Amino acid sequence: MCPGHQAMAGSLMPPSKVVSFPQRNGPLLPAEESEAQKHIKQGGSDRHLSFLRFFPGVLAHSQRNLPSHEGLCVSCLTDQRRKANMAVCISVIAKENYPLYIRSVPTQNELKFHYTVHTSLDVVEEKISAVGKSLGDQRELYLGLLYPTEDYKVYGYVTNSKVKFVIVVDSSNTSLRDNEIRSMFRKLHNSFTDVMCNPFHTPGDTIQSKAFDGIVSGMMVQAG
Amino acid sequence: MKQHLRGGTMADEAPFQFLHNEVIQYIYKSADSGDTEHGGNISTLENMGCRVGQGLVERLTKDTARFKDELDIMKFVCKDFWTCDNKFRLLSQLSAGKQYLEHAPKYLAFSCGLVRGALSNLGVKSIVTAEVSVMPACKFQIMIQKM
Repeated sequence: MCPGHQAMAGSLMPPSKVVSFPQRNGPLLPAEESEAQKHIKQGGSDRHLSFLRFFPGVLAHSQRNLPSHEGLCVSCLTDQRRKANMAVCISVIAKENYPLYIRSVPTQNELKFHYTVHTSLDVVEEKISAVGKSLGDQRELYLGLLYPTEDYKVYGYVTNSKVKFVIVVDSSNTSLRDNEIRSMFRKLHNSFTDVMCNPFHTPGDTIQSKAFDGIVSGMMVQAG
Repeated sequence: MKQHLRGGTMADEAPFQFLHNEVIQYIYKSADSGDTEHGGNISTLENMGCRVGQGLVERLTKDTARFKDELDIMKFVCKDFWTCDNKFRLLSQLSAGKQYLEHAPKYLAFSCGLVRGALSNLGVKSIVTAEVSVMPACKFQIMIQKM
């Protein structure tokens, strides 16, 4: 049961009862299919169609009136929530301070992200070389918020092999919490380790791995 | 080191040992048919070990705290990366004394490369050599180049 469902179930049912949605694989019944299409015409994204096909019970649930959620169905809600936990630019920088991988949301001025990442390197160096001066220094890999600009917030993470990860996030994203950023860095680090262990990848080369691209796309703001 | 990684049954090390021995045979055989010099084989093996060491250390340091200085790095390498005993597993199958001593360097080249790769990924440039006087004990010497 997806977290969105659990949240909804909690608001409707007494806590002891668990709402289980019938999960059956396979195509939707024709009636359900037309309901789904209607829902999409009303503004749901068409990604929901494949979601709804997998969990047809959700459709039944979404027919109920849920004023607290502005009439949005579960999949719309989760989608909205998911969009909030997204980065705008993700980059991996090598030990020698050149970029191994940099990917940003396609906007008209992508160079400004490159510039932001570049300037954040100074802050990273400062944090790494602060030996024992800061009070809460737990020798962590996660460096935290590096610096906020008026539009963006920049977070940093350094591995033991001195490879730096930089994530740039929209400032208007107030719902993004620290441990969500940490888990994003964790996923990046795991994926990067897999890239390093790939015998076809030479350390020092730019990252070409499709799997890494997939992980990064999962964390970036989706276009549209 | 391999025991530390897998949690210690003999069955885990055997495949690696067999593979390692076969790799050494393969490199020497293909060198015989070509015209590479004898010393080139050892460096091929060492470079292989280097690359493996880099990947290995990346995986192992994923969860450890950040290293403050070189001392931390050396402590990590000596304690977590390498087990301390007198029986080097890659050699113990060869002999228990002085027989085959002249073949020992081939078998150590990979491990030298392993340590060198691990150190270089952690930011320490080094040269690693190994000496064997009596098998299966062997001594690794790490020379760190100060910038």
